[in-house]
Amino acid sequence: MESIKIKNFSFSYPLKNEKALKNINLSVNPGEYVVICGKSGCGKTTLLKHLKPVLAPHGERKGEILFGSKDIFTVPLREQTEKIGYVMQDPDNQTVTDKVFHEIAFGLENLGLDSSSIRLRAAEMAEYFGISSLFEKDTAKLSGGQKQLLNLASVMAMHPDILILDEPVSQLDPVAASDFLGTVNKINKELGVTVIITEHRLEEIFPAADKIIVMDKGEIKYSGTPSDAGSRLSGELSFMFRAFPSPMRIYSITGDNTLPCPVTVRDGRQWLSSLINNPTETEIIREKQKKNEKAIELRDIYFRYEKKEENILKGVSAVFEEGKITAVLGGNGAGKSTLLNIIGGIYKPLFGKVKKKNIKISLLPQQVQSLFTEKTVKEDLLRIGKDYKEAAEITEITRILDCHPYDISGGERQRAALCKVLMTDPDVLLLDEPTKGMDAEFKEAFASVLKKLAQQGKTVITVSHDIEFCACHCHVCMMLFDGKIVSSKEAKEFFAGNMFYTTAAHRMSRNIFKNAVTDREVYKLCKKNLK
Amino acid sequence: MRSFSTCHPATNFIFYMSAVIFGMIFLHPVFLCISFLTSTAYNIKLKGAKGLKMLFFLAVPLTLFTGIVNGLTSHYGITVLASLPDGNSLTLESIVYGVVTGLTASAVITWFSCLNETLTSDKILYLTAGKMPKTALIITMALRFAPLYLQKAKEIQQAQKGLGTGVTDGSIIGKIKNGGKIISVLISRALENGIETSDSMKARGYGLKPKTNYSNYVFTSYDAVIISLTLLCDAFVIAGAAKGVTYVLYNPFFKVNQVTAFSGAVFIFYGALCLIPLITDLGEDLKWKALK
Repeated sequence: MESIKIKNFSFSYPLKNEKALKNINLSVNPGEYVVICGKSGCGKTTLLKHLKPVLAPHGERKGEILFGSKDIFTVPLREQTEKIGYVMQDPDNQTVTDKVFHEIAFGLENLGLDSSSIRLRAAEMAEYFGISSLFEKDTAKLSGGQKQLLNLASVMAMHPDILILDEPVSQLDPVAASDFLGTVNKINKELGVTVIITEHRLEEIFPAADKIIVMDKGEIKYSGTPSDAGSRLSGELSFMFRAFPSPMRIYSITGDNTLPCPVTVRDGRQWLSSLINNPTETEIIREKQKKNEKAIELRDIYFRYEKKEENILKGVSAVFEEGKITAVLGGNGAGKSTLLNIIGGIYKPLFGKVKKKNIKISLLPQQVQSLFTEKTVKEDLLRIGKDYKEAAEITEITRILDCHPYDISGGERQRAALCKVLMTDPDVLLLDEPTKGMDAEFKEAFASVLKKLAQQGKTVITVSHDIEFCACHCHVCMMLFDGKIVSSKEAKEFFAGNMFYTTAAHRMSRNIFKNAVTDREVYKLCKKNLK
Repeated sequence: MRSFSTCHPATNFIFYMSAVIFGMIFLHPVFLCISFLTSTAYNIKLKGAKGLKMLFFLAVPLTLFTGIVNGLTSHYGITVLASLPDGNSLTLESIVYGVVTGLTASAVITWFSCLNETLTSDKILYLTAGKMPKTALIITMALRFAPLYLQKAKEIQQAQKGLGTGVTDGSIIGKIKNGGKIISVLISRALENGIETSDSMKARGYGLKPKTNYSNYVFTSYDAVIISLTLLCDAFVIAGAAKGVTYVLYNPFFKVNQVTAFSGAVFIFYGALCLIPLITDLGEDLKWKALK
């Protein structure tokens, strides 16, 4: 097992004055689980790519990176391939071959192993990753989560000492994401493989992490344990506040530093009960929202894709009000995206009625890349209409108007896509999983754009897996299950009634406070009780 | 015994090479009947109703058609059956030769239909990979590409439709323009994504030497037996052909060599060759029943 040591390392891309990485010092010991976090564009990916020299970008380098005792740039390709595994963000693009077994074998073929050793390793991988039933399937037919597990398996088949993962779950739904991250934990704990990972969803990886690295503008701002990082959230790390898990955020706003910072919900509960002994105020009193006019009404919608399949929607009835943000929640394959497409008129229901006035409806799809057809963002916007300035300002994309839509970051692309959709001047805005892959900072900005639209009387309907986002920013939440809407309530009331399907803040405080759903509400009640 | 489709690609390949080549070059009526009947029987065994459909809607009409057309257009042969209105004569030999052509074509097509079912694209790829590893890799990547980008095209069309700029929106010129946009996006996305795929290949050591080719197929002693049997039958049939057993004349009159003990043995060997897949499959069925 080799360790990695980075000493005074700096890097700048060609023709750019600003350094992408500034004076990085970092050492990773064998078997450590290291999480690198930071806002989009802080240099995380650039740093990771330097740890796998075959992927390192061109540019000017200073300082050194040691792999064991050798300079990492002198490590031959064979050793790099075997010892350093790298998993990228997009599940589709890193798949090379058409069959699952061939994909696992691909790296081993390159290393020149004979068929019988490859067969053994492929078998081992398929079993360990639980994909043996998919062994002879076409890679194109797998779900996103299965694809990403396959990518991990094909890297692990080469038995690397170090596993590098660059936002591996940003394209996955939460269930597949936690499955994937669970497997990464298992690889670290059971096999002792060093893990270096970047990710926006920190709730799930913090409990497993040994070391947290916080980066900002190409520099390392902090390096230490998760709990220690949490206790600095009110101070030097305040710029990362929104990205950190709920228990850590609540800990930091209460400003009590006598106890160590909780990382998980379980720790959070213990901390809260030792903080508040005899709660006097346990309930948040909320005003009832006033009823607005109906924008869209669904009556008994039935739908299926193939004639011989079962119905996906089996009698969906719902009312969406004007001037409100409504979230439709539900498991994978529950038919949420299908429902959006029916509201948007892209599919026609088999049975039932979509009642709406003569209104303009626009849909922001899950894969926003599909919205862009031109060479620059500006040209793309001009395809919809001449007056792009206002929408561009609302979505804060004036800076990137002249960039190619594929060259901007994921968060920026999401914004540009939203801008394009807003330019169609919709009365009803449909959003399919809009927060996927967004960093915490931009989520906030995105939510404020949606709130502005709602204030103007527009109807926003979003389909989402992001419980925290829905709890904080939506007005109404609906649960789609078994092809029907089984519950439709005001957002906070909806989550306050649930035990599993609810926010971390609520799970953490449920035994003390009755109905606190967001961090802010937990904090408010804490403050009242501590007085 | 185990079914022919579970055999190693090489076993399948050697058999189909023999069956198809012999089926094409031997026009001797006995050989022709053996080839036609065994291929049809195996095809029905493999595909059931679809195999029967092929017999009645492809092989039979094709044979009748070539028989009639050849009878009406060629006029060689000494056995005149009737006089045609244009003054030419309708002869038995030309009709027979037409039927022979039809049967040969049907038999070969049927063999290919069986081949398609048992020698799948994976197996063909495996056979290619040994000789041409790079070509085989390109084929594998292309096989992944097609369904993936069809799906992406659908995704883009839906996204564009949501904005009112899909292929079904606007005037005819607008529709064509919108369609063109979708194709151009698809191409630039494929190129863009290709960069990442090539990174992923580099990261997994593509370009190291020597490279091996993994196959999921195991060559068993059963394969060795089947291949030996195939080659043994091949040898006998070729020897027979060299001795003139397969000799046949359709023009100007029908003539074959006299049937001897040797030629009888060659017929039997040819029959055995063509029955190999059917016998292995039926053998598996019987064993299945015996075990239950």
